[in-house]
Amino acid sequence: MMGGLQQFFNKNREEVEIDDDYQQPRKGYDSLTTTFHDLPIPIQLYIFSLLDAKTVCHISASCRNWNRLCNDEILWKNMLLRDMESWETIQHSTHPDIYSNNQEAEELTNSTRNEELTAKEIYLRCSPESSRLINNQNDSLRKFSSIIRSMLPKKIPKIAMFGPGLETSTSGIVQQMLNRRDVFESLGMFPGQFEGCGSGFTMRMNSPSTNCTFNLITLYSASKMEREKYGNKNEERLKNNRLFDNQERQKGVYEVHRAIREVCRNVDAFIFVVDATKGCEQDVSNGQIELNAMLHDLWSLPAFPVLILSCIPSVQVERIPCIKVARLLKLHKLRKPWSVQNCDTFTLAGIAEGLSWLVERAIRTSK
Amino acid sequence: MPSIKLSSSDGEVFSVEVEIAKQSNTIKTMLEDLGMDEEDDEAVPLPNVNAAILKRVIQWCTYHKDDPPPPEDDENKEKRTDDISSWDADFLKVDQGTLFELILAANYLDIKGLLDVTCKTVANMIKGKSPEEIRKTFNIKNDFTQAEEDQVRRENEWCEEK
Repeated sequence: MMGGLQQFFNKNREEVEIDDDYQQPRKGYDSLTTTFHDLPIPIQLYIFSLLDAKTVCHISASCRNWNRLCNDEILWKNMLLRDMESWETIQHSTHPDIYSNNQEAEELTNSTRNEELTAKEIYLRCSPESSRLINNQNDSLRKFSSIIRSMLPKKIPKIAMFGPGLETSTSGIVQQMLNRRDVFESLGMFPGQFEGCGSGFTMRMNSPSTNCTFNLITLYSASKMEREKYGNKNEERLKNNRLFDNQERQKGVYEVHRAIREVCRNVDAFIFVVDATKGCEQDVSNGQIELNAMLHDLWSLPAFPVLILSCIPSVQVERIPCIKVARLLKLHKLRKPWSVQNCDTFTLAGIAEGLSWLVERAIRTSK
Repeated sequence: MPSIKLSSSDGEVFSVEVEIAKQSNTIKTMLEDLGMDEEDDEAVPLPNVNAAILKRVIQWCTYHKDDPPPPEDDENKEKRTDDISSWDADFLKVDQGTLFELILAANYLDIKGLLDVTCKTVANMIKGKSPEEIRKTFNIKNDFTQAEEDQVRRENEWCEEK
């Protein structure tokens, strides 16, 4: 036994009660009678570990023996580690770190810590595939409330969009949102109300599942000309960021500018755009300052949702997985409902899913 | 070419090139630990493997003798199961009993490449199947009580096709 399988073997030896006498040499076997259940348990688990979560659940539903085996803690822990980097979205309630006992989670206060969950429960709660369907069980309730909602006058939610990703290789996102008629329809501009800040576009999303309208305010750190001057230099950007108060900034304190605060008080939801091109980990992490300053409880209610668009300029570019983005931004500390959504700024793939979550959430809370 | 003799559980003796036999870590370690030299006429007893299976294992090792050593596993990496070479796929077109025997032999002899490819083959037999189809494939009895089955079905509701 070598490498991974050896570890698998050792780890599982303690966990699984071994009921077969498979370790003794077997004599005179008959090929016809050797079955799956004759394989050593670590090998059975190894085979299961090659499969997707759905299939493992199907195996667990086939017989008692496998039902017990398929609840193996290490098996699900490994599947979680294997799969979570490929998830397209992660939300405040589906962030595996808040359920598992790792260092990051230790920082959380007891009130937000959940009861001990098994690795399988964590997986099923957090995986976009299973969590969506599990959460759908509350669907009847949601449908009912949406009927009531449809009878009320419709409020168009205001969304403030900001973040370093608006000004790097993924800056094309705004242009694309205005240009891609198949995804969004622009219904016109509205002027800014606070010292010129807060202007934006009214847009409607053209997607088969949702048809929602929202007001989008984009908040850049500087004018286009200045942004080009600083290029991609994150420090320059932070130093000159006009979202922050000038005087405070000189002292190294990042206070949100008065006019921007007013904008924040007047919106129902936020979009934070980050450039998740592989290699930009440090820039993503630096984004925390801007994110936390803007989302301060003093100028936005804790219930207001935040969509983090984890962007790459095109599908050919290798990306940072959204679970990593959630960790780099320390989102488990953010006291707002949040969702990280993978998105590419050229085709806008992923943006409809993210925005329909955000708009639905915003309408629900602004009542 | 130096060779060693391997004796199966049912007493058949096979003469195998040392380089081929060394793909088995069990045999490799034994040769190195015991410092057995090639002149030794004593056959190595393999009480866990019968002649029919040992013959197949030797066939597999002979074909794969020039393979580079398998890479270390990265546990967090998704393992593909669709990368089985066509020779291996043909080699593993055997009845289920033989396939499981090969897994047991590969495990006992510690031949990582063979263990990997056989386990992947079994995984592919399960992939995408419903619980009922899995039972059918491996001839497994549904031994749940009605209450247990209802419970399992509730837990698995999320993965049923809608």
